[in-house]
Amino acid sequence: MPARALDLWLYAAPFLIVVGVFVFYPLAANVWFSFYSFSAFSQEMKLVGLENYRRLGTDPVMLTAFINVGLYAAISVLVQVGFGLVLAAVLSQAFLGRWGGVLRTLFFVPVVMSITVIAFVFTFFYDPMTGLLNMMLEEVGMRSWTRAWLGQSSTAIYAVIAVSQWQSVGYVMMLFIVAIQGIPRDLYEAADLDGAGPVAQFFHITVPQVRDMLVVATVVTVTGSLTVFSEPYILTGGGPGHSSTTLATHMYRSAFFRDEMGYAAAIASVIFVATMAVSLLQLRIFGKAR
Amino acid sequence: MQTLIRHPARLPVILLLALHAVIVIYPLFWMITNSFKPTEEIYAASWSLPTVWMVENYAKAWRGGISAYFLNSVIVTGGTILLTLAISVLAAFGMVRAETAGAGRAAGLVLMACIGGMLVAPQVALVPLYKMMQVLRLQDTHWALILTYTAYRVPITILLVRAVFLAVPRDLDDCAHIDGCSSLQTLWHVYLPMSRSILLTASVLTAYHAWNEFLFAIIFIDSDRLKTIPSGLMNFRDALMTDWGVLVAGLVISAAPIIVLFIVAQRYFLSGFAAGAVKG
Amino acid sequence: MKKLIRSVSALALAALVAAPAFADTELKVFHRWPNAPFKTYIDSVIADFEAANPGVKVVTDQVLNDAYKDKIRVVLGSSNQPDVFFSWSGEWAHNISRNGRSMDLTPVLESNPAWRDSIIPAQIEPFTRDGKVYGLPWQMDGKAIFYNKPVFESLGLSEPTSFGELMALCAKLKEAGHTPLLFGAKSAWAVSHYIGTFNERILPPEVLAKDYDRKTGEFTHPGYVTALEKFAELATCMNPAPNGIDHEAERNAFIAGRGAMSYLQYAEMGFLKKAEFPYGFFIFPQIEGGEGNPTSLQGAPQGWMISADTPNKDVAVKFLQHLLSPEMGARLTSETGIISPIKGAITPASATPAQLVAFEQIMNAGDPYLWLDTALDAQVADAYMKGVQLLLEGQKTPAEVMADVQAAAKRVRESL
Repeated sequence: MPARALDLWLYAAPFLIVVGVFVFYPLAANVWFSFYSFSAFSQEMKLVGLENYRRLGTDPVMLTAFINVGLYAAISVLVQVGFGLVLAAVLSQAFLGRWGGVLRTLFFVPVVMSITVIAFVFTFFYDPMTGLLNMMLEEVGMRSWTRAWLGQSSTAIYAVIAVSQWQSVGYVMMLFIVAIQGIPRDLYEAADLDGAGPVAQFFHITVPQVRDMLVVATVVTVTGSLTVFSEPYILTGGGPGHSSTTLATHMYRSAFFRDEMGYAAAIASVIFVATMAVSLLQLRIFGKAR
Repeated sequence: MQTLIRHPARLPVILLLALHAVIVIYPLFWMITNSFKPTEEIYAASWSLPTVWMVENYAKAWRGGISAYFLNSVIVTGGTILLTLAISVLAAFGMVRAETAGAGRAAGLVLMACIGGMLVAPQVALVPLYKMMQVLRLQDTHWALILTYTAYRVPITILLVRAVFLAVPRDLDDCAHIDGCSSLQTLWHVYLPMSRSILLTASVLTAYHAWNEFLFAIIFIDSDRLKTIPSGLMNFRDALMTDWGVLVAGLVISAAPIIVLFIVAQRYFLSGFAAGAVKG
Repeated sequence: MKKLIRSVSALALAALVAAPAFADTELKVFHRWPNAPFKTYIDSVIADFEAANPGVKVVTDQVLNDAYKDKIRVVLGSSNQPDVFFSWSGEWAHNISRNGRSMDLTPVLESNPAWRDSIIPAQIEPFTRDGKVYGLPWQMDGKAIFYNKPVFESLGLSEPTSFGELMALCAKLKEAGHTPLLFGAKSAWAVSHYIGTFNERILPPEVLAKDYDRKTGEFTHPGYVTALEKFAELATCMNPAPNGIDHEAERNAFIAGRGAMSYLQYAEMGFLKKAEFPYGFFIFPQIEGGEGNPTSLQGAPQGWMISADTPNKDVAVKFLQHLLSPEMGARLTSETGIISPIKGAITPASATPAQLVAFEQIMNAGDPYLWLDTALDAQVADAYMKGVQLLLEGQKTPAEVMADVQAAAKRVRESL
């Protein structure tokens, strides 16, 4: 029935146009742009071949950015996926009753808040002169621990990462809650009869049963870390120095502060390859599992 | 308390939950109390309750620009939802009908485009999109945001809608055909009524992304009067460097609607996140 | 293919994009003052202008400082250019005119000699490239160390005349339990003002002239390292963790009396009205052994440009004439504390005694030394400012910072 196939193209046309114009074409154009040198406000584009990519290899800021997104990914997986799973398992305990639902809602609230709002609030907390964090440390007699959390290159990236954890742990928790709801109850009932404690049940039933979601959550968290922009941009601007720079903030600053659009396009290509690799890894893992 | 004595193992669980609850609640609590203070008091005593509750901070924040950002966010989010749903429903409908009519290969190609689209991070397209906005004269219009947000939300939405459409019984489809419905009427009278819940879920997910998007919002919009909340707040802060109470009141106003929406439409968020998790 | 995609999508979108509604003439102005009192002043000047020119509607947009530096690049490259926009002077301005984005104002000035002659010529100079004027000054400025007079008097201190005296003074302040010098380095430009000053004092002017030029900049003179070493020495007098503090917070702390000194711009005097103590100020002292200009004043004019492609050229020029008139200049100084470069605007009626002193200092300083961040190519400035932030916490040595700067300068030279 070729008529139906023609129908399909008509129905899918708006989708194909929008995605073609705003997703796939830019992806290709980005590679093209990365071979040029040009600034945001000039018409001239100078062909420089692979120069931008050669520079990526020697740019120390790229190295910092990679280390930072690596840290971002590692800590996020640990806190969001690890702690998120624990929270989800705990909240699914029957004895909590209505409290389970209330807390679940509460823990998800940071996820729906705008990152700008959250970042501003945490800027107040981190302030070296009047901030709550230093004040609390002084109260409990840990004066030597007080510092300019966002203004010191040794702590800036961790302070930024902490804000992301506060916002996102609820998101991953929610993914796991949904997954846990899909686990057949009789598995737990059988374990109860066998006398297995809650910890044993967590490791022997919950974790294996949500394995797919573990992979998904890890991939979501890692790709999120590779492309993270708003948190460092708003909280530190990538500083002090380049100490809290990420791939996306380095790209943004190259494009719109240092007048190097071509170089920014090259950084974008790196981000694409990195996120693609992680996503393909996910598909592979799922492919093997089935 | 009595149950605790009977089940001592629950104590660590309760402690853990209580601790996390404090960590989540405190910043929210801080925001609300400080939004009622004058600047000096935030500076000097940001942890205590306001001595005088300055309700006018909210009026000032609203007049000082938040109302416009708010309206812009509503327009952009609303536009994105409508466009995303319209495009996704059409495409999903076309795919489902093509598959059942033996044109599965063509539908498979569209499916590939969906999956491919989901794999591209918006950040990667930034430089070319910026150039494109100039050429298409979309820079500094709400369309720049609506179209790009739509483009990056449509692939996942199609997958969600398609899954539900596939479950629509073929009999109904044929009946409609016999009754003389055109295919669009079939979509309208048969498919859509049966997928209300997934459409709501998709709307909520789209709203969540469009309401909070930051990178495109700061680049594609120049005029203060067109800015959405996430990017407008940056300007709002710079303008109010000396008026913190008003700034924090602005933060509360910006955060409140989406939190309320979430609490009201929680069910759809939940099923959406379950279904949407296949992304990645 | 690219063209095809563009035209197809343009067609598809044409239906979607509503045409903007225009008043008779809409003048778009983009500047960097979203905050009071500056925005209030500009808005009132615009209201006057609109009243005097029926049919003209002025639409403004504004973002602060560092954000402006990003946004103006986006906007000037866009299909959505402002007609009139704020500009720093020096390389920052040249970058824009070189790319053909700002209108050559020379013919306009020639046909309006009275207007031209009402502006202090030395202040026009930094907007001039290859003999053509691409921008006009709106504010004169300079950087001085402001100090808390009662604190100085209580310890019997007087204004230092050399770097050595400044350091000795800091030691005494510290001993008495004061924070000698407040510094907020979170915004990178604040760092650049210090470095610019130290470079001026230590390096011979001809070396600076060569290195600040993007075509010939090398930054290999040993004086650059010395300048950073001296700066690091001064940093021992500062509050801890300057990188965590905004410049605004530094100024507020000074106003609140929580530090004895702060390196501020004359343009910030308007804010200092809130201080409950008398303050004094002095130009950064000479540095022993420096080969540079011992008394130069760091500070460049800031002003306005007209977009090269504006369809509203006449209205835009008229607007600048209004903005840069002696009357508006006097109001600028009295209402915002910014010192106007229009002749006759600075009088005892419009300016405070302190502003009159500042005005004299600027007039006597000879050629203004540009703010480092706007004098250098953006890449070099970025390397400098980011490097010095790390120097402040001991993460980098002066030599390492300069190695980064040299590499950036080399890249800029080679890209030309």
